[in-house]
Amino acid sequence: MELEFQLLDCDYIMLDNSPVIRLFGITNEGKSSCVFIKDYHPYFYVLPKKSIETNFEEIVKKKFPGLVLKVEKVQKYLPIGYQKEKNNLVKITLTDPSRVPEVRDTLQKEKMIDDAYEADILFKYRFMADKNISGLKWYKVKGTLTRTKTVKCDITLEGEEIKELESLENAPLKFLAIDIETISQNGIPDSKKDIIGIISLSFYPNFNSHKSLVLVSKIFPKTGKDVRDFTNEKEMLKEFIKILDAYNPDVLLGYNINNFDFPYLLSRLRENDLSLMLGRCNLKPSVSKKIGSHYRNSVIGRVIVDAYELVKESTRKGTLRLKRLGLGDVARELLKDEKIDIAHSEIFGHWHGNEDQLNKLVEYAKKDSELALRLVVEKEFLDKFFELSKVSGLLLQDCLDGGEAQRVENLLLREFDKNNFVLPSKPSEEWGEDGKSQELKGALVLEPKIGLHTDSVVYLDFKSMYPSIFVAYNICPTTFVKTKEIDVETIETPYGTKFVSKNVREGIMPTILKRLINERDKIRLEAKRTTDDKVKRLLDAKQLALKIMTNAFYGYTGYQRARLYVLDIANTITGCGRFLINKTKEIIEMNTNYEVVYGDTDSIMVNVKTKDIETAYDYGKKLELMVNEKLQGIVQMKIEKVFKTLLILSKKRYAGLTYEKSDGGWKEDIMMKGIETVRRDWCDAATKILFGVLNILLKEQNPKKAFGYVKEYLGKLERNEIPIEDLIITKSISKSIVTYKGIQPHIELVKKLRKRNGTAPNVGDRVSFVIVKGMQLLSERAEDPEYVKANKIPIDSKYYIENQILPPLERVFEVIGISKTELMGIGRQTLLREIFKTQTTDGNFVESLNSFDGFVCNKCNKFYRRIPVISKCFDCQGEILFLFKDKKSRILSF
Amino acid sequence: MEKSTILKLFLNLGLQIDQRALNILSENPDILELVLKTEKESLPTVITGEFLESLLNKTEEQKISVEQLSKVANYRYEFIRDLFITQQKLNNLLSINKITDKTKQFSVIGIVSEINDILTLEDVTGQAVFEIDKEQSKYIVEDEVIGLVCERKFGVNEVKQVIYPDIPIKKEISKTQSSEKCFFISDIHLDSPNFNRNYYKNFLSWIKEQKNIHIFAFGDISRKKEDIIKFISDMPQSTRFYSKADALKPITLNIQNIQILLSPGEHLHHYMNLWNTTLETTIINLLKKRNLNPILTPSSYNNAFLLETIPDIIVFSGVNKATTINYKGITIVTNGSFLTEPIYWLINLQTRETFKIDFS
Repeated sequence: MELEFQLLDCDYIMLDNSPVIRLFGITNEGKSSCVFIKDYHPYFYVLPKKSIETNFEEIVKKKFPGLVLKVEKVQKYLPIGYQKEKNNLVKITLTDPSRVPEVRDTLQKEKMIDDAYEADILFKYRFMADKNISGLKWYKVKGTLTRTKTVKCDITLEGEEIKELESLENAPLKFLAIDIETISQNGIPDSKKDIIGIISLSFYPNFNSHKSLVLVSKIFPKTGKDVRDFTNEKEMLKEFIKILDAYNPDVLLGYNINNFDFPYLLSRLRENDLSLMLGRCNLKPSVSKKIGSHYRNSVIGRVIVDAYELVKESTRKGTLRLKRLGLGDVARELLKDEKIDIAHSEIFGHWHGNEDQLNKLVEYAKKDSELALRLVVEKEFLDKFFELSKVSGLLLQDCLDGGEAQRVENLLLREFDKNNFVLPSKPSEEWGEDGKSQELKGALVLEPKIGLHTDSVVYLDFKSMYPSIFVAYNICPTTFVKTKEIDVETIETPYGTKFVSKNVREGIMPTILKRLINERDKIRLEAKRTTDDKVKRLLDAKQLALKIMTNAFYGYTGYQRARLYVLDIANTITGCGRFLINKTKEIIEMNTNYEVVYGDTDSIMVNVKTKDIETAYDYGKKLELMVNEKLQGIVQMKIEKVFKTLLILSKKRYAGLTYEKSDGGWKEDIMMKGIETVRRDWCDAATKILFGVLNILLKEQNPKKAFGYVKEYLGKLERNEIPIEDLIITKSISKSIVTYKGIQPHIELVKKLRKRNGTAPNVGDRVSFVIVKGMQLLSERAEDPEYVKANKIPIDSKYYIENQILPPLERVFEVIGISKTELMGIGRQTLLREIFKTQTTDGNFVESLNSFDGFVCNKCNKFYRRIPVISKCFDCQGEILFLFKDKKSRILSF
Repeated sequence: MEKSTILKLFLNLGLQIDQRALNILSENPDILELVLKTEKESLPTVITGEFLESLLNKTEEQKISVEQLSKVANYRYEFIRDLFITQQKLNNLLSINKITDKTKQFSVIGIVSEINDILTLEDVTGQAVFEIDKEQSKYIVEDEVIGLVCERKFGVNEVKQVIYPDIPIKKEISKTQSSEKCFFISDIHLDSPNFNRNYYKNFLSWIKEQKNIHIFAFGDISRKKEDIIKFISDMPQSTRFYSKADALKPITLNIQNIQILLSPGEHLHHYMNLWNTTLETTIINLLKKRNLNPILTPSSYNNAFLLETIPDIIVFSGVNKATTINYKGITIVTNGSFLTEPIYWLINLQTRETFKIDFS
């Protein structure tokens, strides 16, 4: 029979002392399938000691009777440093993959070999590399149907022949979102004793007409179509396993499922003596291993996807701009949907509360799993990882959990094998430590011309700079010339290192990179031509995956835990990069009267001294041609966009109004780098006003107006005309309240709320607060926004001006030379902060006090817990006074 | 005035009086009026000579200015800074106002203004912010004086190492020539509902059998004056009493050149909670800071706990948990209490041995 499926997972089991590979996949109709492949065995290579080379086979077979299948002499190139001739190596094939390390270590310990190669490749990846099988690609398998109870799959087949199929489509996967609510009294749940109260499940596609199902581990009168209750946790967990088996999902997902829901669920199953076989295998339990502060989970035959980690990664890479990463905040931004409002600390109360409270908790849990599901399914976060899996060959789970090095290495393993090279073993920890003393030199950042540039600035960048350098100089560990004298043709890089020329041997890394770059170009062209939105989306994901892979090679060679860590190569790449940027600057400044205003890594910004965008673009095009000609095709420079206005604050911090060619017209945008408009501890007002100022500066080039805008906003703030929502600051409680050092506003507010309402946010919750007017400590003036609204308490505008709004603006204004002199026409140059500072009054100044809360500056009212050692105010040099309640004094009497 | 009359008067008032106070009062009967005028709540349970002297000085209302109080932080800053300079632990030492964008490796000495995720430090030239990792900052508290070894990168001061003044290692442990045994009793809490009468009985029968030992009573005995009178009469005559009012600050005693510091220790619990450390680690941390209670609060804005000289023995009351440690030649003991753990310590100053006395 023949089976077509998309590969989701792969592992092996031992059957009659022989490994059997299992390929788990999904068919076009969404059926789960498992293909068993026999007669494939693990192997690795060694370089035997010269003294025992002749009877090596005999010795090894004798030493490991029944374990060693074959010992063969082979000829292979060694991986690092150019070699003319192949080396004599020995390939050892074993019967049991799990015993490879034992054989390797014994041979090493007993000094029978000089080195071992590829002895630490995971067996499933060894198999996949040899058979050219990649994660998430489609395969046609010929084989015979077989019956087995070892796996939970719709189709099981003993495979005989496997062939790759071309398809851009993905199989219709089944997604199950899980969210659990644990019942713990004091914030941090303990999986050894705190039960799971609720398991909420959401399905895509539906499960027997259920979009979601909520399981409750106690009797609950309001059960309905989607809510089921149970007498205890164990009964609920049993039902969960039943549903999981019946639905048989391909993807398990959740928001923070990796570090919370899944490990907790496994732990509760264990405590209740229930089965841990949550995967498609009836032999191996699901595992959750703690590595550092993170968990690595595995469910055989399925994939675990953590929506939180996907969102976090996109935020880190800059493809998403989110201020906060809580499910509520993310859902609001991305799905325009709201979480049900129950604070973490209130769960315990709701669980033990009345019917309505419990009902609300059920709805809350239901919503959470629904939102997590929608994030993954609707926002198409997985597309990129699907394509990365296909490009790198790794299984999807490893693409999600692993780093770039693992992807590069998997690709290299295949190419090295094909070209008769062996890969070294992974360096040990100690080796990595040693390497620390050597230094990887970074990219070049040109000294910026700080200020507001109102002439057009063209932004030119080198297309795939680092990959192009690999190709141009034929840079690869296999072509690297380690000796001084060599009798073949070599290329010397600007960094001083040498590689043999392409005519002698083409490097493996440049070959792979060339292929990836070409493929990406082809796909981008295809994406441009297609009119089908779905195809466009898939092609886009593919080109992105190719870009990520291409760019990962440079980092890989400089990563100390990489098999092919060669510091000289990583340094060569950055060295050439620095050379190219410097050379480009030189070419432009020698041949034109333009000015290079900034450059970083692979891009350069040139002031072309015109205000017209079209003209600037033409100048940029000419620069592009000139630079490419002079650099003789090492790398290709391309004009990306034109800045109509560019504000440079410092290295790596700038903002500009950009124009980019698009469909024959111009696309206008504001580009920002390093100017954080997204900082979690800033209120929305701070972000809005910074954005407003940049908008005026860049679009209207009118500093005075920008200044006026700030003043107007501050006026509104002082008159309490800014909506309180814009002034809310949020901070999370990361640990138990009593362990907080120092006094922090959000913690003081929690203490206050506890006294006031009896309940308050707890560990893990976010606290929202505003700062209100008063003479007490700042931390004592943090107040609940709702309470402030209800009681019409005035906001401390001064705090907001000085601590939230002005700090980010100060640098911007400073750079464009806005000073008090210029704007107000009076006095000496003063910092902006001081201009806005309102005059304080000497009110409430009393003769003497008989107690004190702390100290206060008589001039700017800054509060001090302790008298500064300079005995005056740090900010304004004002006199320090005693403060008690709202009274100030120079004298304390008792 | 006759001494016996004074004694009788005080007994009626529920107050005890020491020998020196008795002498002073018998010679200056005017002071008696002052004592009688003082509110009962602010009288110590044992009227001592020192107390009478302080009463005499207090007749006029005391006034204190910000300037005077500002000397507290400056004093400790200068004291610890001088220690650091003599210890020569810090290279490339800079004042805070001398840190510029060109500065690379440097060190500073300063008093901690604020410690949250970042550290704010000040010296007499100004204030600066430092980035510090959690591991390094976990024992830093406000108002203590520390040294920092730093590196400045991209305009950020990064802390590489935190240096504490610490205790110098003693070359020789001080001992007395003759056999001198000291016993420190505290935390009896006679008035507490959890006070254990059996422990107390055991204690009394033990103390009666002791010959030639120095007995020091300090810390919480009871809030009721009749309890205290009873306690004093139960104790051997040679006992030296330091009542609660005296014991808000540490007291130094000297026996044949052995310095003994009797310190209140209630505040140790605050540091234990803050750092999540054991009692022993907490005490050692504070010793390294050369200040047994560095955080300044309006109720204790002073340098009373600053260790300018290094005592040979430190005895803490008010901890209610008994332990003994030795840190760089200093013997540190904390007393238990008659509520839960009636463990106390007898120290032989000739051999510097510590004996555990358990009254349970």
